[in-house]
Amino acid sequence: MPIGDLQIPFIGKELVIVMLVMPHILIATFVIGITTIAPVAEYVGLLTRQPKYDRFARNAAKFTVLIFASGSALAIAFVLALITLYPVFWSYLQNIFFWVLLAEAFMFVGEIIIVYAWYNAWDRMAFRKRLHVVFGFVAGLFGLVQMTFINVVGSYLLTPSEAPATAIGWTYLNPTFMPLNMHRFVGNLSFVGFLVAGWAAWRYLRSETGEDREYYDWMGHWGLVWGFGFLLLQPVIGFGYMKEIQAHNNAAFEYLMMGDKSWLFNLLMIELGIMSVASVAYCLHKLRFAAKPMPVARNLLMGAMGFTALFSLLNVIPADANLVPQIGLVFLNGEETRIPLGGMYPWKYIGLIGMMLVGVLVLALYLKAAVRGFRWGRASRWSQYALLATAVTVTLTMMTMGYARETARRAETPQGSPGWLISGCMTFDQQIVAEDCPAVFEPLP
Amino acid sequence: MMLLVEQLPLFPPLVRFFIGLFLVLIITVGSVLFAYWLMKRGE
Repeated sequence: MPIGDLQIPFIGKELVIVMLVMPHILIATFVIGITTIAPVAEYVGLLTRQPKYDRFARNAAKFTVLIFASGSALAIAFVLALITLYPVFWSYLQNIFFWVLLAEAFMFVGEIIIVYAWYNAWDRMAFRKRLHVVFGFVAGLFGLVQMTFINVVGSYLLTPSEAPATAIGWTYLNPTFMPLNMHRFVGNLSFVGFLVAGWAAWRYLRSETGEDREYYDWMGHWGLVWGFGFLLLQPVIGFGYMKEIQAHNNAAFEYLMMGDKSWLFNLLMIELGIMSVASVAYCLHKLRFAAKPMPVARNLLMGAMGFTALFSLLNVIPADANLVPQIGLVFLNGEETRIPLGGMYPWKYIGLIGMMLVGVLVLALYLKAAVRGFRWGRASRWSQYALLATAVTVTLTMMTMGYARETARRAETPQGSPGWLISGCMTFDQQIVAEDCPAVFEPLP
Repeated sequence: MMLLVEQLPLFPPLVRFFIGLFLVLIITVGSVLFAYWLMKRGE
């Protein structure tokens, strides 16, 4: 290696990257998701003339402006850490993705300007509300496009294109780029929805005035509709994403789905189960306060809750007794001991599809009740604990899935290295293994 | 040549896993609380 290979004592350099990237992603995802949800709330407030939507959007914008600084500082620290700790890797990435990363930087600039303008002009543009809403949506769009650009890099590391590195189109549209984009776009909204619901629950439990109780009760409902609604799409999109990984990086797929890291997906199923059951329980509870009683819908939701719990249980059954080999959690004959109802086909398909269909039914009935109206401010403490549970669980889910995507490159151990930095191309020790990686166009004679 | 500090041993993987988890949560929660504190100060 032409330059020093720095090592970090005690925790190792990988952990330095983790401790900068994970908080950054959690904050950045929040920023991107909230700059979609808050402008929608502002617009709904404009259409319905209900001040609670504007109150929510304005507070969300204010918090976004403040949290943006921490998120950006972490991103910059992350890039500095990459340059210092993985210089060869980073210079390769900069070469391959020069235009993408340059464009991404401009998206950051655009996002910063428009988010600040959006919040700052709230009162000044009170009589030009439609234009103001556009500010919010443009902020969301900048964030979304910026996420798309960084997804190019993230997806390329796991499934590099079989094309020269200088072919911008090919490297951009690598095999898992689109599925990752879809998965993250929907995930942003679900994540932020549940966080909003959790925050509302926390404030509801601490509210002292009737007005605040009504507002935070409504806010919990608003967040949950986004969180649960978009969560229902995730299994299908995630399935598509995994199919692409299977087709283009089979070792990573095997490692995650059947190998030593399959416990991550067992954990995901536990998290998905908690979020689904808590969401359905909340909806069921809320129907008690429907402006117009809906006894049939309540009975249906009660049944739906049972089915959601049943499908969740089916999903969490592990395929074999090799549970978490990293900590020695292996029973009987490990991988050779198959657990009944634990296989992917047909049990997990039944579990996931069933959960989604029941979820859609629950959401449809709940939204029908919401259109007729609820009596706000009367929700029980337990319903708020359910919302808090979804917020905590969705954060853990984000961390689990982020870890899964990155650890997938440890499926192979090329040249005795713990894994790949760029799959099939650069090892963890920053050694290039293939001559044509990244390949360049042959110069014309 | 490696610096002396770089030759110090690493903690076992499981310990590093929990240190990582702890650091991630501390930094994230710290950032959120800081932003919330700023928000409350501005009111």
